[in-house]
Amino acid sequence: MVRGRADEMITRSAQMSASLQRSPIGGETRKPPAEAVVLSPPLPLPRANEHAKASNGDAARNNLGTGIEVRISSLKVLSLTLLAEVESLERQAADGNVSDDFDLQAEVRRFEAELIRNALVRTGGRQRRAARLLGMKVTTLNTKIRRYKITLD
Amino acid sequence: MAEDLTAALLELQSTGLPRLDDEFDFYDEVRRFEKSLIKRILRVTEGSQRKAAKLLRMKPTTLNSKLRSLKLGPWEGR
Repeated sequence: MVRGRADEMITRSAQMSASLQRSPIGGETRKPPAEAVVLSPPLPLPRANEHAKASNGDAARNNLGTGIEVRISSLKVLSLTLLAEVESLERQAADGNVSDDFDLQAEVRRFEAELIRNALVRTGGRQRRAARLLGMKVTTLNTKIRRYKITLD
Repeated sequence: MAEDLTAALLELQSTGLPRLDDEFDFYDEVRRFEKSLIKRILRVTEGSQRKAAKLLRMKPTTLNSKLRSLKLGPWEGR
């Protein structure tokens, strides 16, 4: 399970680093605050891209380590992007955007409903099977389905 | 830096919908989700449970007992 996620991350990071060359994520809409600068400069973002590009060349093809290097550099790019994104979201949250209408119970309910709908889709609406898949009692599942008004489609 | 990154990645993964495999447990997943939300709030409030409770519109004592039952340390923001 964890391994699958890791592989997924790597694939996604490769796609992401490719799209990063075209446009920086979240760059246009809001201006990054001054502190954001502290995060990015010492780390060679563009160089990581160059590196990835160079590794695709003929010379690098003979090198057995190439695949790993590409993965490392695209992971670096992804990581930096993620970190910047996390920092900026945290700052936004601290500014009070999250605070006004944050309801823990509601978020948890939404999450539960999403999990249940997901399982029901998998089982074609069969509650007994869905309950087994989720690891809960059928009666509990049925109660939750009614309480959250979950429908397929 | 690397620790920040790992934490950020783990958090990102935990916010996605988990896979429905054999080891899946509904209650575990819901607990994990709630935990990650509270962690995030605590990070915003720099560990202040009083402020976090205010944001979550619950009593500080309720939040504190929730932290205990979720086995979250007093300050696990980062």
